[in-house]
Amino acid sequence: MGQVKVERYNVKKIFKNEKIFLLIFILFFISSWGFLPNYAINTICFSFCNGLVILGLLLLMRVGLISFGHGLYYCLGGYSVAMTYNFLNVKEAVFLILISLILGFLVSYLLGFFVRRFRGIFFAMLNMALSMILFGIIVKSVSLGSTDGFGIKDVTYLGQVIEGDQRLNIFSYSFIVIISGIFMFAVLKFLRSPAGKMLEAIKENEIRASYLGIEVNKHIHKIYIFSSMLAALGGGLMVLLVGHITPEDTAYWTKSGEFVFVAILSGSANVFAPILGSLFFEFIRTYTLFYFPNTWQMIIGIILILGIIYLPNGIGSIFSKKRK
Amino acid sequence: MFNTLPFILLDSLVYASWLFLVASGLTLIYGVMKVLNVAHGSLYAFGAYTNAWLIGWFVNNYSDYEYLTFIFIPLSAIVIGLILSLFIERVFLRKIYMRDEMVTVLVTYGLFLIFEDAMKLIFGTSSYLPYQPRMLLGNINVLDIPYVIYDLAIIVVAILVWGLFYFTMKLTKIGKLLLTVINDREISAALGINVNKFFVYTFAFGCLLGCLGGAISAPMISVVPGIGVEVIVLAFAVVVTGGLGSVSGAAIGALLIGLSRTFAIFYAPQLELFVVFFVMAIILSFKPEGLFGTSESRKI
Repeated sequence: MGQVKVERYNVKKIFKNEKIFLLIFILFFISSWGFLPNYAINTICFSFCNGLVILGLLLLMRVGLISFGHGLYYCLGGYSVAMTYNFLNVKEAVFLILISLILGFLVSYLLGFFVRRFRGIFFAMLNMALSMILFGIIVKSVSLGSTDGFGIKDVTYLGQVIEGDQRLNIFSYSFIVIISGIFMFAVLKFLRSPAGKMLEAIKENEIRASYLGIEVNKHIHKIYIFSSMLAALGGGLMVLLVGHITPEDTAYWTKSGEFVFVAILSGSANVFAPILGSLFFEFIRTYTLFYFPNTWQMIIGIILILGIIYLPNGIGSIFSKKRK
Repeated sequence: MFNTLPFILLDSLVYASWLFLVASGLTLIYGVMKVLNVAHGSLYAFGAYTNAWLIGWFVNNYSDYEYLTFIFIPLSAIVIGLILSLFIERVFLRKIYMRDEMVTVLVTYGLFLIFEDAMKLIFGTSSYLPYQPRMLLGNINVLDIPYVIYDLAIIVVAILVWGLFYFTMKLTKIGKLLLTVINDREISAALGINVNKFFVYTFAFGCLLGCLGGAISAPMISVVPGIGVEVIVLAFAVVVTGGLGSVSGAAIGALLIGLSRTFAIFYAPQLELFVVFFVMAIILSFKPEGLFGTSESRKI
């Protein structure tokens, strides 16, 4: 009797399982190489890179924090890849990505001690200030490429050499999608774990959570590191795909604002929302930039405001806590 | 070192006054309404553009009366400040007063994006150079080195603005009422103070100060798209250093940041932007609420 019960439970779990959806999700995107045109594949790839940053923002949003400066880690990740490639002559994508993750970890670990004491708008704007510091340093120093940034040439993916000078190929595409899938899985696992459940408790009421024995600041520090590493990874993958990085496209605060925009609109319901939101955003942008090149920011702004004011229970509900 | 010291101090005073003019409106609005107005940068840019456009138009048509261009600095600030503040307050902020502070940041960020493109559509993308007011005032010799009088006049304007704040808050009835509103919004409404009216006036005055900052700096810079972005970032650093919501704090913050940035420009130019936020980070790591800020008690 007992065995039957266990089996039933398992069958139910398979259909409810988000992990299976994740597998299907990733397999679908890898197989879409076969039937989608090249420009669409490129956009998908790019939105996976940005989607990782937004996945990082999702983690922070689960604790009720928004960072206006995740461009900092996006930029760090990108620069670590580009500079390791150029100065150390490392051409293997796996190593490059590893370096961007390590750098993201180190920097966010150190800055975390400072940032973890702040909440709300202070947290948001301090992160923005930090990303502007990085922007200032890069723009003013010639040895870091100044406003020109860095470019990279051909990269090997697990030893596979690309033939011709096509940057986007089946290796790079599946590499980016699979790496994103692995980290989506990591986030999924994390949100299910006790540590992930603590996020809700901290968001609900910090002081109550601390009385329950959660070290709030330490926990927020961990989340900050995790989300920053995701952002650094996104930046690193972006450089592998685009082949070039400049400070304006990464560390400048308007880029971080764009991340926040997508994060707010896609919400923090599950790990697929950031990627899908980012996909949606990139495709919309491709067309809007074509038809309305000069009013692109205006359109983003209008959508953001309308969404927040008129859909308080939808996308803005993350912050529906009433002010005291 | 000691030869340049007076000029560093003078430069940093000018820069600090400019920072204070830009940041005071931001901190006032936050102090009273708990709204961090990211669109403050676009208000600055709008002020600069309006002033530049008016001066350009006037000089083209009535070139004999160039000294009248001074009128346009306060005029453009008042006109564009009132129009924009009423628009922002009535249409957007009124709907979100009761929601989280982060929501107001996001809404004003959206407004900032809208204004950035609106400015390009209205004023075009070419640069404006309304140098006439600055030229007219001429130079003065400070320790045998010529210095522009217009820049020195900014110090006076900044001191006037600070004095206006200080004495309004200390001596007048409106100041006392405003303090009540700042301390507890609900209680002051219960006491019969028209809180909404205070909000509208404060917001209008804060926006006006932002536009004034832009209008005053227009003759010193070339007015191009994108000048508002840097301003909001700097103003935020100043305001946070001094403590959000405190005008005197903004003045001290502006002095600190102005001084350190000018020193950086003289001795290590590549650290210019870094120093601004470094000062902020150091002060915040010792006093998380800023120099003059009050820490909020948290409810369980």
